[in-house]
Amino acid sequence: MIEHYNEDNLLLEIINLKTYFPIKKGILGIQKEYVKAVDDVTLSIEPGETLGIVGESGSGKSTLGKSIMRLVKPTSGKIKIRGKEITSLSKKEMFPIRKEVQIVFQDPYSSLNPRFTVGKIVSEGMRLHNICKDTEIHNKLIETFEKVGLREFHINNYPHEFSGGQRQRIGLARALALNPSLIIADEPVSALDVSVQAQVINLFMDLQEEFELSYMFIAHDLSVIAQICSKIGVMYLGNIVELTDRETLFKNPQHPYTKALLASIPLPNPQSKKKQYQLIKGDIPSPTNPPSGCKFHTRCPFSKKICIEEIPHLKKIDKDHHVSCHLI
Amino acid sequence: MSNIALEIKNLSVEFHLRGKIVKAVSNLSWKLEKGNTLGIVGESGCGKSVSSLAILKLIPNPPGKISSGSIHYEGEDIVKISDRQIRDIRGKKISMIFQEPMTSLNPLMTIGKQISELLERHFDLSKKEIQKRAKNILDLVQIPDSDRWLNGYPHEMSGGMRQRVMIAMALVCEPTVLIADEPTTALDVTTQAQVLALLNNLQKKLGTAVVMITHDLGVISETADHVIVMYAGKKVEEASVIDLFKNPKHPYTRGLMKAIPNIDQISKNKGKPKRLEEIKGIVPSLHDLPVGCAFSNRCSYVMEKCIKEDPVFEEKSKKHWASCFKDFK
Repeated sequence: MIEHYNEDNLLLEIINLKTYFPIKKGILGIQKEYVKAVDDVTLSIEPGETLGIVGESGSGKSTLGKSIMRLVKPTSGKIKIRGKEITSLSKKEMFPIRKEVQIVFQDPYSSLNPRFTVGKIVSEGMRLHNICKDTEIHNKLIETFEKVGLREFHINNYPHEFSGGQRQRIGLARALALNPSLIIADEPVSALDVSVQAQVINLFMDLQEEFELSYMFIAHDLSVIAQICSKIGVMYLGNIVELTDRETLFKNPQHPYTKALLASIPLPNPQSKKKQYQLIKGDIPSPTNPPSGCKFHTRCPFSKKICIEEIPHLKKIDKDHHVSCHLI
Repeated sequence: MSNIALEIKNLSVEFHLRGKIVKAVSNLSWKLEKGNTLGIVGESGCGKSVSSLAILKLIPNPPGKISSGSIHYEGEDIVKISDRQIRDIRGKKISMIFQEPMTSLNPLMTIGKQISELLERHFDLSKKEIQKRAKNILDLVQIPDSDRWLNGYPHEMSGGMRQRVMIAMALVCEPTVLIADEPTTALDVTTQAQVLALLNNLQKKLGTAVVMITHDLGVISETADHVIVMYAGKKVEEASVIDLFKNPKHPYTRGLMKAIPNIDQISKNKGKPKRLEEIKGIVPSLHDLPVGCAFSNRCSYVMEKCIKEDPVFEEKSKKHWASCFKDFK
């Protein structure tokens, strides 16, 4: 589908990825149903690029991130990192690849081991992956700490002694210590206060420039995504419904869901023009039993017969602009 | 008749923790006009929730207590009235919507029962009438299939529906004042837009005055008529919503506005967005606030005076107040 990229150049390539979670039903627990958290997603990230994934809760954006890290097992499809397929690697084979791809989690309170000092949390990965000689670890640790805005004396403190923003810096230092080429950031700023959120967003942007990092930035907040990402994918119930660059997404959104998302953001300007797109009704349906055809048809103001019957596929409508909607 | 629905004067709330006194709210005053929306903005720990809990005397005592000030509602001072009297006000005349719709509903009671309990407590109505009103209010907040949901439980509902039920419960007795404490923070953006639109419609229909407490400047700009910005337990700026966003006069408010990614600008500019302007440092703990102005250690305009004296909250331009030594034009 996304053919114009040179394949050798891609840092991450996901082809038709599906991640289903079985749920047991019935008295004997035999009858199985599936939660289709990620349902046929195809994506790619070039080196140095920042891809944003935006969607509401239940859209499968976090599961997508975890599937790439192989923290949950994908049901089918392919994940390639620098052209190497990792979908069915064993734990042992996966180990060296984890160095390449690191993750920063949403909740800075539960994602750091409370019994480890911060220095140990950050250096543990360096030791395991033999990033540098044991004697150099301390220096590298201090260097990493400074990069993310922490001080040397913080090394012996425990996570509970830090504020939310600082903990997120620790999480980022932990990821950064392994010199990864891709960092998957799963809602890294949504638990932070507004003033601290700006600091962490800036840190992400600065580090990207310094280390030529690629990010996959997962968030529900389109304004945060817009600040950081050059390319944006909008997810709804396990599918990517629109994928394009930042300017196009804001100037010329095509999918009705993207338009609804844009209309829903409260703008911090009381005199701004009234909403040009229509708000949508209802809640996101359960991913256990998603609607037939286009999964958005139950909330779509333009729904037609074909939307109920046929599943739309992501199609290219312009250079770098992909939409999955029958009506376009 | 006065046009004021609720007025707070010099309210201070203290918490006694491990022998230390923490002033969560100090000398807060504001007026809420009938039918209007007062927005209160601030980050965590600024005292915005504590001050609203104080209005309904919901501060746990000990450790907390209202140490001074008064809350005027319908000619009475809420601070002075008895527990019995406040129970007649809570939910009937002044009601509240909380942030977390899951934990604020009783999981063991049907939706219908939770709504009718309020009506039973405050009005002398027949069972049939109560049922009818409960159904009507669910219709009003746009719960589809309201007859069925009267017998449903909170866990069967989505977050957005639960928040609608919370709104229904808050409005069923047709209060004159509604306090909404981060009512949409736990919701998705599309649901947030629906809930805000709903609140706005109901407010127009019922003439309720609303106190909208939130950390989100976007929500404030879309809902409020008049805004208060709080920092470390104090009011630092106050103005009409238009004036506040047009010309903020406190460095903290200015900082907050620059710290949020602005979609309007990002979508206009090509290329890589600029870095955000950040407010350095973190929200201070109320245990050890800096001497002088509480914002002085994070302020980019800090002067020598700021670390010695606490600036007075004064009118900087017509109906626009701020507490800062610097005058922003």
